[in-house]
Amino acid sequence: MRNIFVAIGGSGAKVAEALVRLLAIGFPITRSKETNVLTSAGGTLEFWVVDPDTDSAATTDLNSCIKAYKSLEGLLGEKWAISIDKDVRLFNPLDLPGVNNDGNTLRSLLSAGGTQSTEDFLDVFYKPEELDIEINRGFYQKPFIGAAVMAMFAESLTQGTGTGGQKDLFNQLKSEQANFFLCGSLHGGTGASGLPVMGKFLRSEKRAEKGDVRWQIGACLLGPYRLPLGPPFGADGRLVTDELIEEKSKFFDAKNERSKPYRRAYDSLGEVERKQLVKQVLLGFYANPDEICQRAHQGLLFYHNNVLNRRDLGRVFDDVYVVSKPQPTQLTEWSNGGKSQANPLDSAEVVAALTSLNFFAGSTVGGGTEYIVGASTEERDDKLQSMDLYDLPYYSIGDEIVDPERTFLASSILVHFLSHEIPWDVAAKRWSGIDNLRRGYLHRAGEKAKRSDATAYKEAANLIGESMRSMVDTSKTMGWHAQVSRILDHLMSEQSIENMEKKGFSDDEPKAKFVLGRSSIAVSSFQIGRWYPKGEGAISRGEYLRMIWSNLYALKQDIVAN
Amino acid sequence: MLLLLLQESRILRMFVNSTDESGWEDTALNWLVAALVISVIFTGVMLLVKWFKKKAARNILQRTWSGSRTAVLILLGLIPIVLTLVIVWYGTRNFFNYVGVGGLLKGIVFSWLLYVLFMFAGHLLSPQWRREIF
Repeated sequence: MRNIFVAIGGSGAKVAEALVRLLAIGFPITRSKETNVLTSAGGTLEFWVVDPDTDSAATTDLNSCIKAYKSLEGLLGEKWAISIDKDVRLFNPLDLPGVNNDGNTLRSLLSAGGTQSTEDFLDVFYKPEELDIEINRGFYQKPFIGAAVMAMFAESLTQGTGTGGQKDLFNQLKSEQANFFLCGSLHGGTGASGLPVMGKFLRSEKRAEKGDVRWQIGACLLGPYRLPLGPPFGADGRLVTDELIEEKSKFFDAKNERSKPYRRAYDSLGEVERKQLVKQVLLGFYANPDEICQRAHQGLLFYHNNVLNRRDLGRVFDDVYVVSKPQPTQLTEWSNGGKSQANPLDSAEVVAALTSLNFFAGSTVGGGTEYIVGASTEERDDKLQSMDLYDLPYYSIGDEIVDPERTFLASSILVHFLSHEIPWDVAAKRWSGIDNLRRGYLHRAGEKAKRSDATAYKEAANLIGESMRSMVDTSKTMGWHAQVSRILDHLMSEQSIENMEKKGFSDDEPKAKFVLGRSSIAVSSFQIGRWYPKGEGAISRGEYLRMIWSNLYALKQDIVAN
Repeated sequence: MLLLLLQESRILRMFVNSTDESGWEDTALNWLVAALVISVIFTGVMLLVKWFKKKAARNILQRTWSGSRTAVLILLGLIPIVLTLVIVWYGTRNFFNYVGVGGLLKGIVFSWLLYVLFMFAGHLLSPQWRREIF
């Protein structure tokens, strides 16, 4: 099965990052028929990013995250989690084939001259500043700019002369079973304009083959979940001239205390780009926090009226999820795109990534031909400003319900076990209580193999632990309760060693339990020591860990009162 | 058989200070038997201690015994052997009078050697324990 996550714009790329981290942690999307364990291993996952902002920090973060995931894959083999393509396929909507491929403004893209030029009509639809603004850093929360570019881009995908050879790519995909999951914001520029266009493009490609194409197309629309800072200044009704740009540039002076949240974005640019930035702000090309909710509302109406059920295409998406927050989290640093827009991962993006897992697991949202928007979180006083892991929505694998909090808990116990419960420093032949794992090290070169495994398991445990921390640690992320990462750290640390101690002299049952939020797992190190995959061939590290993880997840739990 | 051989050999002489008095052979032999019995008892005790500690171990780390940990256990067993032998030596008139200090020291070394030998042999009985020492 080929799974393709299409991240459209910066928000989509952040959700992609969250998805990679969830998979690294161990989130499953299937139950293996061979080993009967819950796992994500078996298929492939690739990431496509559609974004005119080629310097996007979100894409850079995604690439780093995939690199770490590949390290984990290198350490554990392919049986721990799904195989992710190491290369993110970047689609730059401005990188159009033919005569239109010239420049980074709407005017240069739409008025390429010749018989197909639309120059005469441009002034009817767009203001001069909209036509002339550089759009290689996104569409500044203006989908009406992005929509025109995206439409041209979608059309270019079917042309054989496309820059990336996309026609061949889609022809090849038509012969495969593929799950496309599109993700972008409702209220931004790139996501809001690109997601419907890409959805319609994929659906029309599928329909063109008269039902022979085994594609599933899902989407997650991100409503407002974080608020950018307002613009550093306004034009005050004045004409934007070089003098005004010069004057407003002084705002970013280091002595100006008010400029502090804005300065990093400004300082990261060169001289020419700084002037462009000031000009963009003066002309109103920035993400305006006051308009976000209204734009999301318009976006939803647009989807309802023009995207979801179409006369020509029918249902564009097989499943649609909408994720938002009752009260968006306030960002503390300003950016207008590019390298400086390094937003921390938000809890809403983790929720969106979970919806993609539900989709890739083959689970559908109930409701037949209707689109159902499920509200999976309960009413809370803090309006989800600081979530706990039990606030995350469950998803399904067939008839099984996957509880994200319990998944985190099982993974943290696994990390603890690998790091603190196995006597790696002692010769394997002397191990006691973990006989099945030891058996693999009793041959002549066993000790060398054990040392190599010890290093790999410890590094893998670090990477899995780091993936968990980087999703919920409040110093790196937004929208989580601080205690979540504290408890996870404690569970993974040596301090939790008592939780895994056995109850009595001849009773291997645990005397305590691991508790995370509303989930609990009680297991002793001796019980885990008995777990080992059945099979005659060599067992890979990933296979071993996956079996332990799946068993941990399946252990009976008591209800934890909170 | 071993005792008969010992009786005939010069080895017995090594364990007593004086061979002038009649019956010194019995005293020497009794001293050796005492050393043997004590080493057997403490081998059993120390193996039992190890079994108990392993059984009572609360996790895999505690249940896993490194070679050095086993070596320390064996070395610890040497101490009560000395104490017991000294007590037996001091409390038995014949041993004190005829075995003497030299015989005591030799008896201790003899008992230690037997104890170490039995400890190694004891570890051979179980494949798991064998791996913990060899």
